[in-house]
Amino acid sequence: MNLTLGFIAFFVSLIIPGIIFRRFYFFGEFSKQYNTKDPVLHSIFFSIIPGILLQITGFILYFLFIGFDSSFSDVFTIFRDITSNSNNATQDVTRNFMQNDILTFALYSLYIFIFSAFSGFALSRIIRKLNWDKKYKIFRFKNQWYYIFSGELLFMKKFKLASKIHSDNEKPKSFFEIFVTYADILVNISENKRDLYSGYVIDYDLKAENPSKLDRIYLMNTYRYKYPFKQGNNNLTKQKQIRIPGDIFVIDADRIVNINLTYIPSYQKKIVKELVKKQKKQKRYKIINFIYFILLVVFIMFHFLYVHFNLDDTYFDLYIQNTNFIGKFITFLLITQILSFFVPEKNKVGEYSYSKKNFIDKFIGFIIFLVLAYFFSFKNIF
Amino acid sequence: MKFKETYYTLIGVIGVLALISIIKSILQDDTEIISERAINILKDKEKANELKKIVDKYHQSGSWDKNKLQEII
Repeated sequence: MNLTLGFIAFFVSLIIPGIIFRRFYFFGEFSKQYNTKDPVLHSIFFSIIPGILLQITGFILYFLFIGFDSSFSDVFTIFRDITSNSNNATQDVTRNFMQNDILTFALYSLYIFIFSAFSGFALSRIIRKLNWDKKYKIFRFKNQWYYIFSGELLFMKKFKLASKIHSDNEKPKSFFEIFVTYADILVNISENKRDLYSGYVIDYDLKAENPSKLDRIYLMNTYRYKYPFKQGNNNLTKQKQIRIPGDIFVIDADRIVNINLTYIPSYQKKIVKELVKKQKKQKRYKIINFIYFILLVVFIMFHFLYVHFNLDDTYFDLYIQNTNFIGKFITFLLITQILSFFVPEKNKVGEYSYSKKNFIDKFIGFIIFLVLAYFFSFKNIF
Repeated sequence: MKFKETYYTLIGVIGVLALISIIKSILQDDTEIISERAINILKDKEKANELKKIVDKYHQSGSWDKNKLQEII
């Protein structure tokens, strides 16, 4: 009985959070890596480590933000009583937990499940957003075919040189610049016959039993090139190009001899992307300017409202008490100058930007105001 | 009482966040190997043939015809 209860507790506390985490971690094309046909033991094994980490993190967060009514020793005792099958008598604290706090445990488990889903979801998106899966092998998803067919492969360290050659020394900065992938696929038809198929890659399937292996590949606008196959003669020449009628052409991966991929770049996409990036930057700069203005208003208002903030015997209190109007005005200018280092200026075209020249001007202004503020304000405080 | 309120609030907030994230993830997927726009262009036989000619030319010359590519894409 104890063992069964212990197994349920183990399953609910570690395995289920781990499974939920994995389900949400592998998204989109990478969800092919999370397979419902996985053996149960395989799923359980790969869920234990994330389950333990999630339980620890969730427990710490719960303790920090909400706290527990029970002490850590009580938690340990309950856990030991539930999981062990020893002959030791069940402690009072465990009995009390079983009678009164099962619902709390169920709610805590629900919190852990939601936390696991959110962690899995967020972590995979962060990894993708920061391109860590392309930069670091440890974060790479197992579905290598996605990287190959999407062209993201070119942005991995090993393939960067290839991408440089590919784009006429214009190194693509992002995978968004690849419009579509064109594939030439050599297929083994029979022992003495091979055909070459060409088309745009629109989808692919992975083998259920091994998600790292390609199962099928789907092409659009497919052409077939017929080659004469002669044993011992590798000097093959293109004979005939035949357009295959229909919308989608499916190739069984088991028959594929090799694949030659061509990544078609999208220069227009690059331009649009740069434009969007520029607009976003301008928006961000406008927000910085707005925050700068608000901070200055808050600083001025603070001179009148500081009495409500219990700032007696602080430097700000000393500053208010011992500085005259000119001193306060110069201090305000100094604060303005310090904050202005982080604020972009409008250029001739009306766009916000940071410039070296402005920085030097601001720095000179900062030195002047600092000296003046020292004599008119700080000297009386420190 | 206060403890329970905080607990339920926290669960509620996390739940709502998770729900929003799930819906967002369903609607947005950055792991497609081909965009909707690309499929629409490839459905256009003329454009698809033009694009194929550009690819064939690239295979022979080793450089992209940027102008023609921009016209199609």
